[in-house]
Amino acid sequence: MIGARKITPMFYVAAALLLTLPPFLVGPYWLGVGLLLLSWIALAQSWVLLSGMTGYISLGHAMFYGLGGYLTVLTWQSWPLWISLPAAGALAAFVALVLGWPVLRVRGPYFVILTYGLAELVKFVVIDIEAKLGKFGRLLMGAPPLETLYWLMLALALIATLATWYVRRSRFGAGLRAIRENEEAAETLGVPVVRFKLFAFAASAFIPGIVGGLMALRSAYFEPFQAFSPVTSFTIVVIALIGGSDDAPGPILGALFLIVLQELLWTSAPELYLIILGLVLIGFVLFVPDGVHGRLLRGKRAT
Amino acid sequence: MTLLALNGIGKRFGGLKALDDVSFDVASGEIVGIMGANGAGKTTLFSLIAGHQKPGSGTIRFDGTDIAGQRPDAINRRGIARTFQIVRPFRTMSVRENVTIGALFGAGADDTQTAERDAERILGELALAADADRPAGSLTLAGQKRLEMARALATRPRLLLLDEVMAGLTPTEVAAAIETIRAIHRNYNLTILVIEHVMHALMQLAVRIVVLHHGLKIAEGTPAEIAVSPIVQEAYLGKDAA
Repeated sequence: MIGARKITPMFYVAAALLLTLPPFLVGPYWLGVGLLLLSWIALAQSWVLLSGMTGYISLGHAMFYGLGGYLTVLTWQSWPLWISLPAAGALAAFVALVLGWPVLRVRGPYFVILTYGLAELVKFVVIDIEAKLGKFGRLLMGAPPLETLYWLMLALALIATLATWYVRRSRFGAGLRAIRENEEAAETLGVPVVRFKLFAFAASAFIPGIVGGLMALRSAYFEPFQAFSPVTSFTIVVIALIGGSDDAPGPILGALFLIVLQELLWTSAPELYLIILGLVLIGFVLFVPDGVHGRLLRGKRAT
Repeated sequence: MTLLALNGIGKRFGGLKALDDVSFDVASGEIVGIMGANGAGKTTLFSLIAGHQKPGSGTIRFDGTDIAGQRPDAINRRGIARTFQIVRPFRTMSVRENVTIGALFGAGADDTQTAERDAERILGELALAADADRPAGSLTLAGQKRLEMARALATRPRLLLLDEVMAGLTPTEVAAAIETIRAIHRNYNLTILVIEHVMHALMQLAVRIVVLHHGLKIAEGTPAEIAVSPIVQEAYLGKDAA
């Protein structure tokens, strides 16, 4: 057991080191796919930190993603990236902290709808601001090369994965999971539920802010409808549902599954892609509610 | 020494007075019983002490500090733990994890290793060791009631509020529960407030009993005094019987 506690993070670091190589080995198409895969891993891991652990299902992560993208674009060529990207994360975390105070008072479907509504609200505020400024989409000149973005995204995915792994095994994570199981019982046992939920919400927003910044640089174009698209939030939930949301391997498996499905179907039968994704989702909700990773774990325990 | 002092506690739900000007003290080390029919205000009283609801009026002094209106987690860290009449286990977690969470947080706020060791000991004391790896939701009712006590105990309280931990148990289980409560009272230097419908159990455990009726405190005394009190008999059985 003591061995396993050190071996697993070492395994993730080793895998990440190995994944620094593709820029030297594959062409821009596959590197782009790799970037996308890593971005979904980073996003889904950070979502698990809040929603997987506490059961507060957020449909608001597109807001953090969009805000991070927006700040990166606004400060492009005036701030260096090593300032603007962390600032994008910090902005997202700050917004989560401010919104979290009232928002985390509601639970269940109300929380889902509220986070979704807030993300839409912020989207339209940004659209309004851009319209007032007379901007209809912003082009970014001189964005960093794909290789750089890939390595930065790899680092983010690694950090997010280690964060999930660590929190899952920490006192903080135990408190969050107690909140998921029964919030009244948790606070009766001394779990500082208000503080923990708020901190989880802010931590969960930080990585998506940076991912949004990197993806804005990747497309070299910013347009609020696209940057704040709720599809980002939906996709994160789909990944967590398919892979499992209780521990670090879940989001990785879910993101892999989604990217493979996309690659297989997107070009050959795009009209089938959403239909099949929908069927897969229904299947998972009905028959594998704890995701691929949860099912694998249960299989292991049973034998 | 007085550990808990309730003074003029009142609580309304709309037009209904759930509690009206209730005052009593609990000395350190005592086991005090709370008795009363359904709707008398017993569980509301626990909710006010543990911080799940704010009293409309009055003060709740614990170890000299007024704690009325503080959050439940803050009150627990001060040293008050409660069990729920309707059990609230962390269902998908193992029994062991349930108890460990109490030890990780609460007034003890242990590091992981100490918490796991404390949890193991408490599981043994409350006859839960054999079920430690099962999901808490799969325990029998008696088991879940013991788990409520085990988790509360793991937070290292000085005052333990037990809300009908014997309701729904068989006579054998009740006898065992009485022994368990006596043992933890002794071993952990606890002060215990206990709500119980199983009357003979309350008579055996408590040194003093407070009787609530429609939100009012109508009597307070030793079990022997309460058993023969005409006011209590009238409240329970009606005027003719008294």
